[in-house]
Amino acid sequence: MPADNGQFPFSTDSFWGNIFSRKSRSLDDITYTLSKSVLFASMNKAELQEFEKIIHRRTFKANEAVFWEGEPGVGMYIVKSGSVGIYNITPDHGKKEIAVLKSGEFFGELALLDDSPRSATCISKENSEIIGLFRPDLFGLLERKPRLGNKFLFQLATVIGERLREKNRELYAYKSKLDSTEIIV
Amino acid sequence: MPDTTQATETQARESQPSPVTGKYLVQLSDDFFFKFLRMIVALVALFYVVQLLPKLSGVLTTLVAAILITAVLDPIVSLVERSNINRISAIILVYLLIFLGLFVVVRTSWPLISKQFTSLAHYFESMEADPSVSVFDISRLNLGKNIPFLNLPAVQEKITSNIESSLTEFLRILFDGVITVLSSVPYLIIIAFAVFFFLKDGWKIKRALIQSMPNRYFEMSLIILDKTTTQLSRYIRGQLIVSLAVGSLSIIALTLLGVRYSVIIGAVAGIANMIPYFGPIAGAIPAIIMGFMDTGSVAMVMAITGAFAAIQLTENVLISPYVVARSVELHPLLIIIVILIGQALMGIWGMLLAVPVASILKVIISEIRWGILNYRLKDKELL
Repeated sequence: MPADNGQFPFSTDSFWGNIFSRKSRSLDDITYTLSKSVLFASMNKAELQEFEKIIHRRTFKANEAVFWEGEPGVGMYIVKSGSVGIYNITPDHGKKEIAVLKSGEFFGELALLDDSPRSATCISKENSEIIGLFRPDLFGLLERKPRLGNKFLFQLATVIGERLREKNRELYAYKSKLDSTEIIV
Repeated sequence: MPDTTQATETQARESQPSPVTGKYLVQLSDDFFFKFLRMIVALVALFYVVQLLPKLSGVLTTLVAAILITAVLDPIVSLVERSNINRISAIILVYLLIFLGLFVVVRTSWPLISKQFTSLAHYFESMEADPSVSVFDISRLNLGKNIPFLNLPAVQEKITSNIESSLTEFLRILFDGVITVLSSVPYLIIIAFAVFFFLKDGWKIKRALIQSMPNRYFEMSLIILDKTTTQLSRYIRGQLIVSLAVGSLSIIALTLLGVRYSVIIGAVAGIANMIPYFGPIAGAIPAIIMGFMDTGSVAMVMAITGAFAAIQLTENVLISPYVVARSVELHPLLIIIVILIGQALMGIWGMLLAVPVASILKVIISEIRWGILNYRLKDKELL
């Protein structure tokens, strides 16, 4: 049966190619996905390969939960392919979608800092491949390669700081809107 | 999403009358069939693994020893790696340091160890040549002065033979143990290789183990594996440090007091110290008997007892609180029970391994319990 690209699936090139270049191709895949993320943007290939050693690749079916709100956080995820939805599920309002994340985007990064409960539920919207980076592995990297670990933590702090600034701006906007609003009793 | 329509259709299909017999037959779904098949294969595999276990005990011992040593060495290798040295070089450096340390220790203490072993071997030879020759004469202790019935020759003979036989048995176990260790050098080389690869590729093995977990158990397994390995590695390191400290202090104290076979008895006291409650006593008794046998002086017995008490105090106050993980601690009653179970199952080795094995099980069980309580496992597959 011909493959999608018109080539025979067991042609000599692809057959031997799969055997001999699987590792390097998978490595390149991961390092490419990581490099697309703002957290790893400043890292060189050797540094990305160090992270490749500590990340986990997971595949999720459509509608499969990645994690549930309230569970202890273990780490962050980066969407490699497919998409995931972030939800708040309450008994009163049901499932409320907060965000949809696509390839290259990340979520759950606060769980890298402590094991406080997840603040939202994450569900795969379609068949997706997701890369996970978890706290125990990051701490291990910090033990072994403190310079690289700190570089990552600094980048993480920058991202969290930027989000905090954005939330502050939103808060001020809401506050000034509230101040200017006349409350009619 | 598995909606109710689909479920009803499946039910309807399963309860259709069979065209052949006209009776209602429940058709097994493919999913059920594969689950059933997998269970059968797993059971058959488990059966063969259990059958093979006794034959694989050597391999398993080597593997367990390698894992324990890796748990001790891994943090040291990571520490070396911090100074921008790649992992393989860090492992080689740690190996070199260990071999150098062992070489220096063996080289400096070899004359003493060799002398004590030769003396011990001569002791066995003389015992085998003429068992009636007593190396221990209770009459010279003059115990009968205060306890008259001890003057009776039959009582003295009985006491002498009892002490001698238990001491000889103890020394023989020791001697055989050391000979076993020396004769298992090929195993030590295999263990050294296994430890090297565990240190180098441990992350790959750990990742492969975790990778095989279904998504719903993944985060829970990851955190359980991490907590368990961290606590166990801390526990094993702690025990090793305590044993080394107690062993070294015992050797120094016994050598200073002039007790025969001080190095061997001190080393055993260090190893025995891993067995709570029984260990410290079991470590002290041979030294006390040996000291009493050689000098016949009660003052010597008091001195050895005092030395062991001081070592225990140092261990309990200054060493253990800082190096042994408190979270792995078991209830004293449970410790006694598991030691007795270990003794019943595997003798001395069972006593030595009982507490570490029970601690490992305690950590694993408490972490799995924590995971089950904190993670939502049931309805995680599909919404």
